[in-house]
Amino acid sequence: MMNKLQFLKILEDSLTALPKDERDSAVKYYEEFFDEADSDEKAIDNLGDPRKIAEQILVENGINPVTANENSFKNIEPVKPVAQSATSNTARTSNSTNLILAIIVVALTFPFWVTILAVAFSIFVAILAVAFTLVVTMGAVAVCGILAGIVTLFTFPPIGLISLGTGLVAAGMLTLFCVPLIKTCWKFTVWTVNTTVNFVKRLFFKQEVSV
Amino acid sequence: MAFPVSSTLLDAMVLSIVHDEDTYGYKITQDIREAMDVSESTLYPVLRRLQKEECLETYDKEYMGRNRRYYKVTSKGKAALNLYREDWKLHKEKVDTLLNERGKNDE
Repeated sequence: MMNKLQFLKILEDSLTALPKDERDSAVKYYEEFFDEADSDEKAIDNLGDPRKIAEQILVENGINPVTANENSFKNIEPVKPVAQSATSNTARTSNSTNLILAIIVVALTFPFWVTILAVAFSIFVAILAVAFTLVVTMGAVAVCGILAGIVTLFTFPPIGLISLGTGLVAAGMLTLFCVPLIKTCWKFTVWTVNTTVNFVKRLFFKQEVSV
Repeated sequence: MAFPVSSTLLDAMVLSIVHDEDTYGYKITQDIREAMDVSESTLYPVLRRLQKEECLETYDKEYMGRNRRYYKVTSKGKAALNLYREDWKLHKEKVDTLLNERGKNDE
């Protein structure tokens, strides 16, 4: 007649095909069963064969108990290495299927993400263009206003003053806003290029590296 | 009992028991066994599945120097339970009409 520890040990050993947290959860549950029952013997009488219980849990987890048991017999001595190679094998196949899936998805959604990229690029160019236009306009108003102002000052002083003033205001605005604006534009350009490059890199190279 | 127990019915009954009051695996098993003939090991896969489907949550509570794992119904579990209750009512009525109402005609 086995005792509680033997029961739990057989249960745990029969569940090696499961991930550790699944296995621990099952063992914890049945350990609690023993704690609640009046005696270990009564609990074992009621629960029956731990191998049967393990089979039921394996089936529920989508694992064929027959092949799982074969493995656990082979693994009596070197449990971990074989189990690990088995899991890394499945990981590898699932990774390569993932890569194929990713390629198919990228190919199928081509019209979709090309549109998104085009829209993003247009917005990016538009923002730069607006900034550029502001700078150029401001510069033109400044130069023309000051030059025209100086000339008109001697022929018709009031208009000359207005023109000169407008030119100076534009020049002031230009120096006040231009330097930060150009800096921001530069940063924005660098950031956009970096993000795009990183995103594309991750899309195409990460999976190959992890395989 | 002559009628086989379906896993859907087990899910529904477990949810109902836990919904009444947070409780632990052994107690749930005993409660179910009062109503139907299931083995002591039937409930673990059911509880685990309900947990994975986020119908049940667990928490550990100390009891006499050891931990008892208590089960608690989530909002998703409550919704599932309500559906099960409605489905059961319909199912029961249909079976009753077939099985019991016809029986009365014999007498």
